[in-house]
Amino acid sequence: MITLKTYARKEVYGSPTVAPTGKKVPSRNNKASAWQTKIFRGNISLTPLKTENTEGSLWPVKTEFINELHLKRGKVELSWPLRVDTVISGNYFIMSNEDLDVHSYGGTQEESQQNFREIFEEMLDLYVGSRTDELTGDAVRIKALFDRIIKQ
Amino acid sequence: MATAIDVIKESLSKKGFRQIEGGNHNKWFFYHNGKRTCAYIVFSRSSKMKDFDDSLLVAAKRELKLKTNGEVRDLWNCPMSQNDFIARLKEYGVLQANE
Repeated sequence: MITLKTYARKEVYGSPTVAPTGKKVPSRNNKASAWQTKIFRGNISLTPLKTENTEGSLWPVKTEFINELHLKRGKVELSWPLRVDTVISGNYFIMSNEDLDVHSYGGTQEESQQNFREIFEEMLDLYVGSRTDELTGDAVRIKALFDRIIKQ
Repeated sequence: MATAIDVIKESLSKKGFRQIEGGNHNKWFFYHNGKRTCAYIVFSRSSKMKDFDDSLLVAAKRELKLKTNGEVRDLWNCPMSQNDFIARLKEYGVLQANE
């Protein structure tokens, strides 16, 4: 039942390539070229949900939208809600935000959440502290998002 | 199955990855033409974690911007060279073709 609900939700954001039944569904590809064009014109765009077209695609057991995070520096409000998907792989809870490219894992959900907050903060400091000319490719887009993610 | 983290780090360091110091997490980023890309991998600093479990390949392939678990293994083991990895990043739109 969970996978069916998840499948319906994912349809809103993009076509999955593998249905919960395991049957392959035609995909619209990963749209890399579409947003790549935007990046190098200097625009900021959120990455479309990348569909997994490989073995072992995992369906989120939980999708949440986060408006604030409790970091070491204190509670911060985010400029837009962060979509965070949690999947279970083996003995691990894996959490991911595709836009900011932050991923974490842990043996328990709490451990994964704690790691997510820590990695988010480390990536925030790293990207905000980097000059654009030190970065290449999609890292430029991610920096532009990190520069704006914390509500002033 | 699992791969020793020390073996992975040694392989990554030979293929253009550099460790970023600081923080609670051990972050390795791929550099191309002296610039940092968004391809990276994070290892836990926990002393308990000496091996990288195969069930974490799901996270690793997202971080490394690869598509399959096999590609991640190929990067860690020897089949995928640094140039092969760059070619994949260009193919997947992570790097521009002329970079």
